[in-house]
Amino acid sequence: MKETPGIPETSLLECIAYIPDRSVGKLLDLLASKEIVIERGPLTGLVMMSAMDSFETDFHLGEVLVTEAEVRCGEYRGYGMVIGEDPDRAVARAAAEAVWAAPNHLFRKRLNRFLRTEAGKLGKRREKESERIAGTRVRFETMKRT
Amino acid sequence: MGYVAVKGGVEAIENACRAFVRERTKGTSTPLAVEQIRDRLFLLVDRVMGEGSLYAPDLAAMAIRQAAGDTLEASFLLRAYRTTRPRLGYSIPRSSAGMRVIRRISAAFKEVPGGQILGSTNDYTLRLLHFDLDKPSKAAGPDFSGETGDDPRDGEPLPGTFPRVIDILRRENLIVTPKRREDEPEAMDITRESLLFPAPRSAALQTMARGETGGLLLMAYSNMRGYGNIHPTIGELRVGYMPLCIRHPSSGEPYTAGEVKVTEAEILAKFTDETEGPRFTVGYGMCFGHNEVKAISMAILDRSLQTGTNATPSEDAEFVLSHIDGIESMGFCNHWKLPHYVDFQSDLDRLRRAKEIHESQGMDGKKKA
Repeated sequence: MKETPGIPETSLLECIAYIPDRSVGKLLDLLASKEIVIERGPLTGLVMMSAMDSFETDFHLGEVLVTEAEVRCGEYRGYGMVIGEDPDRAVARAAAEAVWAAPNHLFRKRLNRFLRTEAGKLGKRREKESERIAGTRVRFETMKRT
Repeated sequence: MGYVAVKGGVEAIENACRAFVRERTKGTSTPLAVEQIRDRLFLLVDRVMGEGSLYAPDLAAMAIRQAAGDTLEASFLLRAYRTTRPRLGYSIPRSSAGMRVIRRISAAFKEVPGGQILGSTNDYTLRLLHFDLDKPSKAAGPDFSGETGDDPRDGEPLPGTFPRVIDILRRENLIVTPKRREDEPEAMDITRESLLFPAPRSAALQTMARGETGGLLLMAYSNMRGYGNIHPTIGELRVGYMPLCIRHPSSGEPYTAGEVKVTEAEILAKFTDETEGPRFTVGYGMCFGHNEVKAISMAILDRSLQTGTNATPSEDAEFVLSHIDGIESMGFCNHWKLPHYVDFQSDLDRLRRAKEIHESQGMDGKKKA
């Protein structure tokens, strides 16, 4: 079985972690037309999250519940890990990675189109949130002596 | 009267458990949905995740519901759950430089690069009960007391990343950089190794990150009030989302599984001239979720533990780190409710014997007088 080569467009696949549940369902429907075999999982587990303080001393912040899955699309393997108990999302991410690696350019194009649309929506949601937060930026006025 | 060890009470215990469930579900109000707790009581959920040391908002909300709002019990449920899941690995350590910030303030500088962003906070609200809170938000009106009102628009979007306030001081060589112990090549994991003293700083930070908010606050407050000498200034307080990055199992490339909400505090404390001239010292705090009191308390304690003098309780690492875990301390406190019939019988026997001796000596004394 071939290993997935260096994952291209990582950030595009990454957006699967944040898209709404409804979109995950659509993605699974899209990927269902390919022969996806679930090799492992989806299973929940824990990842110990490590952080760095102001001086780059690393320490362990606590564990994060994740779901991981491994799938195969023909000869190509895909891996998916997402935060929370979310088996559909983990499988969708793994399947998207496997399909992305497979040499079916037409299907890859469709997947690319779907993910770009979702990434665009995600970007807009984040932009809106950022604008709302930006409204809480403090603008100091220096008081004049009287 | 004699005391003996007993067993039994199974039926009573089962009925007591059922009584608790009945108590939790009594009344005619709508049953609480997990989503409601997760979304509406998010600060409570964040606190339970931090103290349970497991980032899982849905499970934390379930635990809160099951524990009828008891935060210690809910954290215990969450921490117990984590023991049932396999550890898949460690994330790649990341600093907060790439944090997606939703709140960021500094008490040290008025103008900070990127600006002071208040974000979502109730710091500036009057502590008055808001009787209209249960009405739809539009009816309640766009005020600061409770509901959202109209979304403000700033026009200038937030920068993707914010430079650290502390770097301003670092560039001028005005802060001390804590040095890593030579016998600590990598971060210690207290869930895998026992905490021994003197504890490495990484172990102290991990212990505090999972500590109970009230416990951390108590210790830090004692220092602030004078049982210590830190006098902190908040260099920066951030709330935002940090990516959870692992290594892809096949390619080994960084792989982001999602993002985790955290609170981070950096405090600047009294300066020292012990090494390389006078400079500020720094304390660091970070925890899961939005919990500013915990992050600030942790930062103050991180700094107070660096003094290494043990002059006050908050400077004594063994004292602080052994007493701030909510689940351990709650467990120990609650264990006193369990039957101690044999122990107590032994105490009682000794007391009776002591009393006999005391009385006989007393009588002897009277006779002598």
